[in-house]
Amino acid sequence: MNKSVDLVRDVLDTQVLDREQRPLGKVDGIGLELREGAQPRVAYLEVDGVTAWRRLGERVARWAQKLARCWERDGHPFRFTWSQVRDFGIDIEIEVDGERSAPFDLEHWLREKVVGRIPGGR
Amino acid sequence: MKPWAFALACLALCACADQQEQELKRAASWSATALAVARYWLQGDLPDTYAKHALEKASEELAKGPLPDASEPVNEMIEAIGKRDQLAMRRLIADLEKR
Amino acid sequence: MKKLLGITLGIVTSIGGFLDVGSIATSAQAGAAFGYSLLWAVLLGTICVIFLVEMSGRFSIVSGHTIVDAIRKRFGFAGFIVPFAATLLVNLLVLASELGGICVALQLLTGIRFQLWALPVGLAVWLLLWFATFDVVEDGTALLGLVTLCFLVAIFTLGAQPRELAAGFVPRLPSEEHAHYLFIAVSIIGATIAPYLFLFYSSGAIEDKWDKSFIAPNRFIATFGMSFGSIISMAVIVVAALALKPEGIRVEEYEQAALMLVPAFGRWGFYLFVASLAIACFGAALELSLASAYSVSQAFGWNWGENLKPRQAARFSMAYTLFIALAALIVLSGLNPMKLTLFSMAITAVILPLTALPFLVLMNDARYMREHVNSHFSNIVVLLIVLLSAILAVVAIPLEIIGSK
Repeated sequence: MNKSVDLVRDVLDTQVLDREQRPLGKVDGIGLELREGAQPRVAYLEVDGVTAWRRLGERVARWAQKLARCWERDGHPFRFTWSQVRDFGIDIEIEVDGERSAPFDLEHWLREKVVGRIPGGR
Repeated sequence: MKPWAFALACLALCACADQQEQELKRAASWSATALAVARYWLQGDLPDTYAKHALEKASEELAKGPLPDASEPVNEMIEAIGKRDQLAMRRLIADLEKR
Repeated sequence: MKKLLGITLGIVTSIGGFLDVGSIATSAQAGAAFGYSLLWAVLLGTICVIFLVEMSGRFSIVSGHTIVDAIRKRFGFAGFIVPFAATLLVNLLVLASELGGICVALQLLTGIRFQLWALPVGLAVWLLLWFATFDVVEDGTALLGLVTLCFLVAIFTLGAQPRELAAGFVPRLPSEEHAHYLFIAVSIIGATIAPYLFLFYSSGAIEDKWDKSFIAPNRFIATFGMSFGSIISMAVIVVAALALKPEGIRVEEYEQAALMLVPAFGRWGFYLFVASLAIACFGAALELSLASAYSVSQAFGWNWGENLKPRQAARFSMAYTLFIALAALIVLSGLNPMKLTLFSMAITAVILPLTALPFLVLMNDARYMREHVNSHFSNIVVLLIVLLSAILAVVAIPLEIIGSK
């Protein structure tokens, strides 16, 4: 099974879904592992807003980071490996429970602080 | 660079010359608006609130324009509406139409 | 049978939803100043929008993606961020114009200044989005929007001459005021081809779960819905040409436009205009707010959907909430609603290529569209109209600014 995957074309910026088919975010970054005398390997795929903004420049990333600190729970960007990928096509489905993962921090923060406080929000 | 700037300057000049004409057209348009509002009000086709408001707007615009005296009759029309004076309005319309 | 009902509803909602503050303002101006001679601009815009809307539906059906989601994937975050930001900014201005339209309608009715209506109106729009579902929003307001058919009725009442109307479909520069003519033409096209329209349509197709069986119905809805809808836009031009131009009344403020249905309907005319303006703008405001929230959510891969309760899609709901709040503030600032509308429409024409061109690339990408890729004809039509409008806009806007100083 020697299927090749175009990382930039088919993986980067692709929608990621969790095990319940919930949208988790987009593949904002790809981490490669550089090895001596061997081809680089895909170490992880990252879903993190700041990573996406970093593609526009370091200064933008710093602003995004400052903002994200308001709702971040543990400050680690969400990463997953290829072994967690269940299905790969138009979207990437992974074997993870999205509700508890970092990309949902903002969603949870808004639910608690804002939406939950407005009537009709439930 | 130069021919580009020259062309833009020409366009700007043309626009300025048009300007005077534009102002007169605007004034004519607002006078016509006032006349129409007055006529329709007289026919009972417009509510008092809107008629007064539209005439106030017309008066404002005319006062800003090249013929500020044109706002005078419009102000009188506003008064006529306030007093529900149809006769006065008829007279004012006739006057304005003559101009 | 159910499909037929669906198609009919789709067409009817497209008609009711076609008119918004942009089309009313630009058409009224066009008719009052230039008579029938700008009808071609509505026609050109409509042809383009039919293609874009059909493509948008077909894209979502076949690829299972929304347009924004796919544009980011295809062009990368860095490549898409500028068109995305530009579209959002213009959306905000247009939303402010729509809210402004509702506020002006209320001002015309009650005499209370439009700024004072900004917050209540913004709240009303928000409340409907917060508590209702997609279908209620989409269908409810569009059905109410059928009140705008009064403009069509007015054409017959006022006795428009078909031969004179036909002449208006041939583009021809007037004897004077060229710059203003071009500016209005460009604004009409921007008002007709608003990007939010086809981006919203794409999200709607996903919300309504359209599958392959909807490809043909989609074509019908796009063609007939937009065509019939555009007839109402043209009707506004004709009514303004018949009711205002002969009196020498130009439309610089909504107060003047409000007179245009009086000759046709008498006392009802004023109220029909106010109702048309308020309802058309309300529907468009709902669509725009949703479209912007869709765009942001789809761009970042968040969960989204009007059919979800706000708590289930907090980021999505907050996005439209923020949008409405900002737009309401713009109206509150007292910026002249008519001027804001006209310039927003012209700017829409300028940035249209930024969204339409990447979308065309997607429509020709077999990985998304499989065997349903665009025909050469569709590509050429959209390309020509979009580029032409942008070039005209870039020329016309500075001239209009200079001319109005």
